[in-house]
Amino acid sequence: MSGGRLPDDGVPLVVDHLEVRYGARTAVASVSFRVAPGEIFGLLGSNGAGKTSTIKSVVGLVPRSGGTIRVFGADPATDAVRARASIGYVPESTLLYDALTPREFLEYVSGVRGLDERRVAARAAAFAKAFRLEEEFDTPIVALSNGTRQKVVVVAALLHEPGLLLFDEPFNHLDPRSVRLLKEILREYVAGGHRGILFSTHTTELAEQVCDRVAIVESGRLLAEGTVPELRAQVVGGGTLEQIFLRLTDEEEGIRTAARSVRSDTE
Amino acid sequence: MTAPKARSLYRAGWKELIFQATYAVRSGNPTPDGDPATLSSRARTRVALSQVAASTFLGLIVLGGVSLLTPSLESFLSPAALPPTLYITAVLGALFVVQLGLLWWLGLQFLPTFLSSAIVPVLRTLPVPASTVDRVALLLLVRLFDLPSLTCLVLTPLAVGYVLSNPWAGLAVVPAELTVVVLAMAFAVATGRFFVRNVQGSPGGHRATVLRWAYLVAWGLPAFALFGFVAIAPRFLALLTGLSTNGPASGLGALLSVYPFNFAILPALVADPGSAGVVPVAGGWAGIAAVAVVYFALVVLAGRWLLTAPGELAALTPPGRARGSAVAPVRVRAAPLAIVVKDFRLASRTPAFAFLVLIPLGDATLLGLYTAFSPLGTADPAALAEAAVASAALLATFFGPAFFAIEVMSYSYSRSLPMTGRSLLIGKTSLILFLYGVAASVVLLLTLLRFFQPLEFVGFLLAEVPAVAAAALFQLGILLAVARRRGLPLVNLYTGAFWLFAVSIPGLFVSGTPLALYVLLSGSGAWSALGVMGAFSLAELAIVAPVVLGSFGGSAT
Repeated sequence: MSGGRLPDDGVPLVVDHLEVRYGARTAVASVSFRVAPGEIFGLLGSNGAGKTSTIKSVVGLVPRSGGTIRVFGADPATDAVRARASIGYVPESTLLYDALTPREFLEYVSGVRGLDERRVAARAAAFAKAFRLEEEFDTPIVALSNGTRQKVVVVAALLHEPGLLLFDEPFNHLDPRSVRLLKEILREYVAGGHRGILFSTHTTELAEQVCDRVAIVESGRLLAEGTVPELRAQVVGGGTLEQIFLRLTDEEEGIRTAARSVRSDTE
Repeated sequence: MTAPKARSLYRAGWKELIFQATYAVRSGNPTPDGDPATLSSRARTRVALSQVAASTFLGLIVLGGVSLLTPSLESFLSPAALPPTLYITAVLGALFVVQLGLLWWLGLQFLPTFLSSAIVPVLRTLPVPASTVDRVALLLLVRLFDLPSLTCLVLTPLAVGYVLSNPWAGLAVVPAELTVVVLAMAFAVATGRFFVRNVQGSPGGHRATVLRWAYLVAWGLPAFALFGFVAIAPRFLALLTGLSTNGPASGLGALLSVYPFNFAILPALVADPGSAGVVPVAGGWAGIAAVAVVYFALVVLAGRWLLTAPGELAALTPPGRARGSAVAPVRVRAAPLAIVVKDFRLASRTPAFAFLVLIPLGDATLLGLYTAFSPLGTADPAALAEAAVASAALLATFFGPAFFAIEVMSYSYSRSLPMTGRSLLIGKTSLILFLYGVAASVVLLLTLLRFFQPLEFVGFLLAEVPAVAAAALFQLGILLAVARRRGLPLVNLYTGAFWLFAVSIPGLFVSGTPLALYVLLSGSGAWSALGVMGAFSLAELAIVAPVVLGSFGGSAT
């Protein structure tokens, strides 16, 4: 693994030949991609495909076994404070400090990030209103629903206007209104052309609706990458992103067989 | 069918409980690397080691308490006019109270593990009868208490029987110990319910925070009252002596009829049946037995309540009190201060951490009150006040590292923040210094009521500050170094007792050495002793701070 610090070239994220291993098991094998300024980049894959391990290694939560990662030129492994200052992270499971209220949690996060109080107050108020969090802003997180917790962690990720958003299944638990709102926010967020979003999902419709480019990952490997029309052109038969995904992962026939076996079991 | 099913569910639940207690995955810690069987076995070992550590501590207290019954110590401690039966009753009564307090306190430390494992709510979703789930919850709760409870139940009768040279007297301790264990479990569950209902879901804001701390203080009062009971033991012996020699007999009889003396008197009377005459309980032996039966019936009721209460507690959810408004300002503090405020807020809604704050403060208040208001005789009030401050310093040093465990909660999220090791070290050290400072100030204020030479006392208080800071940095530095190499260590009594003791013992050495120097040198003049103490304390900080802060610098946690 090479460390060090490169000049900030304005590219939110470069991942080059990333490898992540847990003991003998390889979770991510030689994955490379980049998130360009102004881009929403999607990692689409089945459960256990290596999406979360990739995102966690970008944050620096999981040590990488090989390859390089740069967040605006900073290596999260050796220059973690600088890299993390540019990141807004929504983890797959929202395990926050249960004993804090959303306001207390945001105050803590803002303090650690050293943010400007007036700016934070204004943004927190705006997000609370947009996500209809006002009534629960002073209720301990332990007493909140999963959807409300998810909104809190999304707000915490957006509060400091980071250059790179890392969203691991961000629409989990959200109600339809909040899903729509978050899609709009993400689109607005990259509109300026200098921020980027890495977004993981196992839902093909969401990837198709939200992402500028999509990487299809399976068993820790990157199978294809491009815009949806580019992927359509790469795969024989084209079709929807779901069909492309299933063909690339050789799952289309397997799914039909599995469905048939379940049906015959129950009949 | 219910009992075998409950046992099989309990075995699975216990594995999950100790796994969660050790790795805190459900609280936000990253899933540890490694083979599940190895991880599970490591969790079992850690819990067993912590149980052994807690039980050893309890065992030492039992042996220390019972040793007061040896003839040599009895002749030294017991007032001449106090009949031996009443001396034994007083000592055993105090021991039962201390055991009850410690077991209750340990229970409060264990309960968050039980609740956060979320085993019972998962079982409630399965097609399993509610009574079976209640039984599983009870088995898990009993298992949490098992080794410390066994220590009380087995060691105390053996020790009492041995010291009084009468195995029947030892056997007469058993009802008292059963009572201690059942009441401690019931108190822990009852206070746990109170906590979930009134504290855990309490909203943010200044008024709610003050109310929450008031609840926690009120909730902790019984535990401190137990501690105070031990602190005033000599006065209590004097009271017993007065009542037994000057009467009124009804007063003594009433005192001996209340818990825990009603149980403590049983082994005393069994050891010396002829002394029943000194016990003026109405009805003699029959009266004493009747009182014990009444209390035991209460214990049976508590035991029956415990059959379902743990299951109900585990399923309780804190009431959400929505009343916020985003218009209220969001305050941003510097990183170390943000960590301190976050820790206090978490402590105000988490009993295990609340006690870390309340213990040094409660100890200082009790010892300060004792110094301010008790008849001193030949005792030097300055020495008493200094002892109180020293105890605040040592308690802050001992319990302070446990605040590190807060970082385990939500670790996989909070580690994504750009927090430096230096911010974390300064934040946690400030918290420990704050606890010491407040506790020492309480002693100062109370002592000033009687002792009007505050300069020397303030000098003593300030001279210890660098040593407390050095000890905290030293301990936290070790924990942070461990965290970097092998993941964040839990520092709590249930699974992380090893780390708590591993860092507390050298920490106590760092904060205790200047105090010891002062004691050694104070004979040659208080101010020169203070000078040496302060210089040594500063030297410790001058060595530790650059090494620890330099090692972690501005790199991420």
